[in-house]
Amino acid sequence: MKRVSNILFIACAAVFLLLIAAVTILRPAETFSYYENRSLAKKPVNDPALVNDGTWYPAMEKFLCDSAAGRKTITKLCTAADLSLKRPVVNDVVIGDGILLPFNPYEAVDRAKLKRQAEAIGNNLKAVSDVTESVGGRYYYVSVPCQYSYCAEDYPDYLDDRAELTAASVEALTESLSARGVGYIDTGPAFDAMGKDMTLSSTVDNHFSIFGAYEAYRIVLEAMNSDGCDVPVLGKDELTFTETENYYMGSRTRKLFNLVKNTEHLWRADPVAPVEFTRTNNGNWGVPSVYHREEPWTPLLYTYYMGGDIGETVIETDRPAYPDILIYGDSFTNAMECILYLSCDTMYSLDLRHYRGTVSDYILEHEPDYVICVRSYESLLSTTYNGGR
Amino acid sequence: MAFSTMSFLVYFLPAAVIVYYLIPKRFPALRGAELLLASLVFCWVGGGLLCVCTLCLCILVSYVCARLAEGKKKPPVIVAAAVLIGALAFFKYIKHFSGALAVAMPLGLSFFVFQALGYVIDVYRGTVPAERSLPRYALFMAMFPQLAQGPILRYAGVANDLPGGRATLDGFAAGLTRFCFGLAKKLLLANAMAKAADMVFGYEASLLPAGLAWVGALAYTLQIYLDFSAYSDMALGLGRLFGYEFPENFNYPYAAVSITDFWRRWHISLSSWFRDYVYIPLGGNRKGYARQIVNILIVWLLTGAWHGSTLNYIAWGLWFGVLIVLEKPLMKTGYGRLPLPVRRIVTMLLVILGRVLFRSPDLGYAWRYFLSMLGMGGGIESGAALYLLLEYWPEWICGLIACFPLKRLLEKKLRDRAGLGGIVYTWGPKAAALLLLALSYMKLLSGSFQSFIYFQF
Repeated sequence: MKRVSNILFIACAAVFLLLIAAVTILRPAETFSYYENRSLAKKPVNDPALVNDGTWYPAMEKFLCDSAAGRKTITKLCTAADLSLKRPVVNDVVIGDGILLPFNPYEAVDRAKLKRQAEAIGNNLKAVSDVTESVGGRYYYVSVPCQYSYCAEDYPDYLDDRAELTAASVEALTESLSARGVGYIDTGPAFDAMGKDMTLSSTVDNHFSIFGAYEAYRIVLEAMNSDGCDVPVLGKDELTFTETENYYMGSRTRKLFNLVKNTEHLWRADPVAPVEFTRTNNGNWGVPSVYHREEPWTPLLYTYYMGGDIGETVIETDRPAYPDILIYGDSFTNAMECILYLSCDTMYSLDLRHYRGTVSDYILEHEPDYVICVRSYESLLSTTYNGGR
Repeated sequence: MAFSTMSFLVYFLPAAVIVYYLIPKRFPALRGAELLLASLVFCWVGGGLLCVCTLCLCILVSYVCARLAEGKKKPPVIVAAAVLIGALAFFKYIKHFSGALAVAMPLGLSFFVFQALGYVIDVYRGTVPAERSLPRYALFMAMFPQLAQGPILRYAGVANDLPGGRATLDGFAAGLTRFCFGLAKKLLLANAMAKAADMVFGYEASLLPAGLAWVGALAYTLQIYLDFSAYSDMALGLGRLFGYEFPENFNYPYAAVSITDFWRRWHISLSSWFRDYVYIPLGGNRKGYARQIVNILIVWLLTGAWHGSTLNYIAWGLWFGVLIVLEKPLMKTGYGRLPLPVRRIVTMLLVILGRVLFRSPDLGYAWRYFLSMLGMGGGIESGAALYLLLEYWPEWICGLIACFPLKRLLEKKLRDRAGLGGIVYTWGPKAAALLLLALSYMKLLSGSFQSFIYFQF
């Protein structure tokens, strides 16, 4: 019996390993992982010099793992197993009661470090603000609450909602920008005053909903107008909000391989009185729409708003009485832009991850009346991410 | 190249084994040549050209010096020691003296340097004859299952199996089973504990709440055992695939009843190396109690230095040296008569404190960490500690189980049983190994690449 068991065991293990090797080699190569939202590793060049210096092997290992047989299914199975084991955090997503939140690594609040960061970004923003003023415009840096901040109460007590860090960051930034005379609008208190209305946020994504985007738009423009600006603000009754039919694949749902289903849908906001406009993307004529078209059976992503990942977008409404506004910053701008263009003659939008030039040069070239940089609390003090320079 | 990688598991290992067994048993030299070639490729791909060159240099120097050292000739031993220890010291310490010359330490250098030096001393002492065949000796030194993290082999232990090994069906199946268990221990348990430990030790020590500091220390204590013993399991298993039986490197150290007992069970090949080649030649316990204490402290100072070049490693070595010195008279008092579970707990507490020294980036950090463990850092309570316990609850439970000899106990109970017990004894470990292999593959793909802790030494 022992001999039979030995042979069977060895044969099973050998078949298992050889099958994996064969399928990995023979299966068609994939280049993108949808659920992870990343490009898969490419095969490294087989160069003995790379082996000699020790760089070939880690690259090859990454490639083999990314292109291994059954990778997607296995990763999904592991996620399902982690969910069934009731781990509080799976794939960096906190599994809350009816809500999926980001896991925030525990971080001690270092006020001296925050002050240094606030000074650094303050200097960057002051430079952009000065350029804006040199062409007769006004500059505003805007902070908006991201999901972990807006839904802080939904975290279990033992997980970090970063409330202390957020408050200290806002405090440091307010001080830094005030000292430099840079316009700063923090929308957080106004959102708080609305009583944590969950229709403003998302339960499955980092961003606010179109309702939240509208409120951010309103708060920002009203704050600007009370500061002496003159920007028309649309009332809620001047917009029609419509729920999309498609399934909404929020970034957290996506990280969990859609194993935790949600009933949330994306909404769109359209003006009651239609506004004609033209749109260019990176200088090329595009479809005059602020919503990305998808087939009804395709899950919608947050890129539904404005399309996402476009270096430069220009929307012209041909209404000279309205101001020209440049908006840039992190992805929270996308949903806001779907409404903001209605208050503009020309709305310029930059995604600095893709746009090749600098904001300052762009301002000098286009001379907008107002420049708004929108960032969430998560990247508020960052000088490296989108909008920090 | 780590054993728990796709490259090794799915491509390198099957290829090396298949080619090895395609060569008929009657050509042992050819089988040995294949294993040597595979080992050099393993070294080259995993560690680069520098690693291969350093390994070849150590092989050549120790081979020649051993030949010259026969007949109790001392100078070749001194030359070998100077070159081998010099190479080790260069790679370990050069970064402290010249940043420009600092290079990554070749894969497994600490291990194969000690293996080579042990061999030269054995030849000098006349314990083993000098190996005449360079390829046979090179195979002993470079064999990939033990190259990167040991166990540190003695030539006498494998000389009879060189160059072709003594492969049997039973041995192959047992080796494969052991490899699968080791792989799972690494991928399913050790890596999870590593995440917990890395998170805690990533924070400034003075800000840590006591709860989190203890959870971090426990996580690292589990990680280092599960990680290193997993590697040893895999090394021993791989050795048997090619017909070699390597010595055990661990014997459930966390079940030790004293620090001395702990070091008889932990990294056995290194402890016995220091005992045979340093402690005993220094006089051991034969030259009086005072000299014995000095000898013990020297051994532990060197053990600390072998592990790393920063002061916390030296402190870690001396910590255990002092504990062993103090333990000897203590065992003759009432402490020695305490119930075993109490002594086990005391031993573990001391080991955990040692782990903090070992894991800390420097002595200052370790001191602040100790203060935090006593509640003199960031308070007592910590949500992060609870999170780590809840997040990795399956790994905490299975990891703790893996630290104690339950598997051995179960095997002992089933070994001589007839009927169902016998069937479970024969088929159970193999079925479990296959399941663990599949789970490990799943974990390998879902997790990111992580190298073994002991690669850095």
